[in-house]
Amino acid sequence: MTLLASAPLPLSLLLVLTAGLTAQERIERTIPVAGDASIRITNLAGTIRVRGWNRDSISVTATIPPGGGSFFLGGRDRIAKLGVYTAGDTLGAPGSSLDVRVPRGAKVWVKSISAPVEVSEFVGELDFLSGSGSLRVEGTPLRGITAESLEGDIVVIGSAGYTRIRSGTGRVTLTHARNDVSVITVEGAVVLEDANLAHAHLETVSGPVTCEGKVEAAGTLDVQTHSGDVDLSLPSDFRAEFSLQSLAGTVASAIGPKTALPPKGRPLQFQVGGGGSQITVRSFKGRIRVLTH
Amino acid sequence: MMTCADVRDRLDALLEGRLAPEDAASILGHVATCAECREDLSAAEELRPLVASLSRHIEPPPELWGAIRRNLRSPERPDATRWSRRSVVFVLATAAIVLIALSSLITLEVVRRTGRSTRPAIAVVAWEADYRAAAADLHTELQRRRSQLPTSTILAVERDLAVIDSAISEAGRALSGEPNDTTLRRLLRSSHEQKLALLRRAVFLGPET
Repeated sequence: MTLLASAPLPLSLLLVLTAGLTAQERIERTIPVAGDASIRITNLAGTIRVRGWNRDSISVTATIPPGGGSFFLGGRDRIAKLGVYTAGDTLGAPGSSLDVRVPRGAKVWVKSISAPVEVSEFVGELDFLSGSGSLRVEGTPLRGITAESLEGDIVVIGSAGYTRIRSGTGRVTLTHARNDVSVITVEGAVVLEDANLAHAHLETVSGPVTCEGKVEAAGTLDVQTHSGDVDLSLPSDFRAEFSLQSLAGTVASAIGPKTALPPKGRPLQFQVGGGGSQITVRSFKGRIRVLTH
Repeated sequence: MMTCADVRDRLDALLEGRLAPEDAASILGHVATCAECREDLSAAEELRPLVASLSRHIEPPPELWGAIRRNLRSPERPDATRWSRRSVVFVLATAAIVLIALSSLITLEVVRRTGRSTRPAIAVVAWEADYRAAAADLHTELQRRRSQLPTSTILAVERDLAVIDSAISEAGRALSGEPNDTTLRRLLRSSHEQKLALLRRAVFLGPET
């Protein structure tokens, strides 16, 4: 009788405590910064969304689960830093989500370990570093993109003044790439769609490289793999000098003179349309193919 | 510790084979890890005769291995522990340098006997040693930080490293048959650079950085 009578109180207390423990913390903060401020964003796990806006301020909405760490935001004028800090067992902490608005022309540096990152409506410079987290950049032309990942996929839809990407196993896809581009992966596939390149360097160890588009007059495209296959798809009226060489693989080109191929391992060199761009492809044992579109 | 100035001062003596074996080994060890001094050495006209003459002298001295054994076997005394460890490290480092120098000389001798130019082979041996040393350092650091990265990421890095190592081996083997092939050299160098870049990314990803 005593037990039954006393049971509801501890039980209700327990429920209140449990509710408190499982509630997510939602934080909304805004600080003023310069339009070209350098902003560092860190959130190792969870998600990060960065959007540019036409205001000289940073606005953050952070959702942090219990044990997810503590939120920080600081800085003024041209430097600011924000993110979720997790002490101790970083990898065991549950992920937090960050929704950040930044001045459109800012310089943003983002670091995650597993958090996927999305960037949009942004025209400034983006610097991204992640382990398994993916990166997706979409929208307006950026001043520049530098992205380094170990295994996360990287997708950029739109152009940038410069694009420098390094990845391990992650696939890199650039749609509408322009200007100067450098993409280097180990196993990750490199795919360029509708490219119009000034100077580009695409390199993998074993990942395949596919590039569809064109290279500006007097521009250069340099592709290098160890075992990755290379497929270039270029306009049929393309003007360029080609040097295609696979030491232990095959080389085939739908562009250029229909003459006998050089001995295996020697470069296939030719010029079409009086030259212009320079296309160089080197591989140890990958297949090289040049197609037209 | 050998400095660049020390190396420059002794380059002539090295080229003429006038240095004591341990001094020559020190210089070669430094050259293996210093691009500037390597260029100085590569630029020297008498490089090939020099290396040939060095090969008569750069033998691991018998007492070297004795010293290693003594240091490894000697019981650690409380007041001498740090010194003993330093000695072991020093002697092992010296031994490593001698071995690097010897392996370089063996490579050179092989190349010399096949009648091919030694200069590219010398350059490859030197910069490969550079890359390997840097990769070993970074790998050690990555091992220290393993717990700060998800297991899946570590596994992905290890897999990538295996892919790169395989490419390095393949290109290296091909290059030993065609030491003057610039495409092979470029591919080999790229693979080494890929390895360093991958390790660097993994190391700098940890929360400590």
